[in-house]
Amino acid sequence: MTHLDALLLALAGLGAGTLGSMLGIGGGLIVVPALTNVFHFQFAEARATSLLVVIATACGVAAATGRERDANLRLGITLSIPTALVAFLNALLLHQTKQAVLFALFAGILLLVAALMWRDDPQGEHGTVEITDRPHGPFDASYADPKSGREVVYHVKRIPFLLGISAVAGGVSGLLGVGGGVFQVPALNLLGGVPIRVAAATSNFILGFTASASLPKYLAEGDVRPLESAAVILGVLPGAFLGRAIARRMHSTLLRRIFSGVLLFLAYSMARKAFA
Amino acid sequence: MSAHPKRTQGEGAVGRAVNGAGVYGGAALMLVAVLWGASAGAPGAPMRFAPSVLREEIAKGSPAAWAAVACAILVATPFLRMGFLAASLAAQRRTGFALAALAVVAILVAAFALA
Repeated sequence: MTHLDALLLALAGLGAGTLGSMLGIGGGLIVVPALTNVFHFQFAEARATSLLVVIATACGVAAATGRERDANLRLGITLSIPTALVAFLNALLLHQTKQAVLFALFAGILLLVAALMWRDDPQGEHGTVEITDRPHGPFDASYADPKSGREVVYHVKRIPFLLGISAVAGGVSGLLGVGGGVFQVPALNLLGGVPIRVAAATSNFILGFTASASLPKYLAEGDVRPLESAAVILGVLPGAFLGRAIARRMHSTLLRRIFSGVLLFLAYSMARKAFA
Repeated sequence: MSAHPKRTQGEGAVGRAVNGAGVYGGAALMLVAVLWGASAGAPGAPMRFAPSVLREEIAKGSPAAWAAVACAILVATPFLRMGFLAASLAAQRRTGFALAALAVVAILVAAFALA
């Protein structure tokens, strides 16, 4: 590896971290296509690097911002069980899935996320949230509402659905190397009635465990290129913070639509590899 | 149950310190390994993360081995966090959630053991 290689990999990581953080989709959806298309990694190698990126981002954001003050840890711990279990089983049982199938699945996920991003912004902070004055269930919790500054108690609904979607997110994460936040955050907010800020923080809490459960198999299989992965992570970490800062200053609907187009292009590039 | 539920406390000061040490320590080690590897023109190649392989590569003075150690530190960090969270929940007498946290730890241990 030359200095130029290291610099390019770090820049790719910086770009992925920035875009992923700006759009709230995590870096994995961009790291995997970048590494396979530009740096000619095998899918398995890009997936393992992406899972390392997911862990670095999840733990790094928690360490640097204290963002998990907003997370519903009881819900996060509970949802981590199916997510981590399915991620681990997928890595164990399906690690030899054909590369073409993985490229095709990845293209499908990118298409789905591009479609979700094309829509208008999700509902506001309290759009689907059931505010209550007293807790009904074990997962009900409170958080500091940034607008009013008051402590708001919310009711968490449809736990069985959330467990199911968490299992799906774990499966996708373990197989394709993405974080799974693209499933978790909308599910928590729209189905579970969790405020969007809490949903994002809770999802960030879960992601590290999901990636940690699937990665040991890929480490043991020799899928990780340590030097290149390290260079990418060194770019992703500052990118995650840069993206958060930029996102606050940009018009979100336009941003989402532009990057929906970017994701469509990435989906096309992955589909081409699948059917080449 | 009280009318205003307390938020579940995090993994505590020790857990937060472990998380910070894992991320920042891992990143610092990665930076050293990448700069060293780039200066030495070390070949970038996949590596199997087995203790014997790592020991052998470290003995050879391979920067990739140190990058691998940094990656391993990063992978172990969430596992340690959940362990401290389980302990913190047990101390708060939230037995059910402490057991759930231990279940996640058990999955992560199984993932390492069966890999």
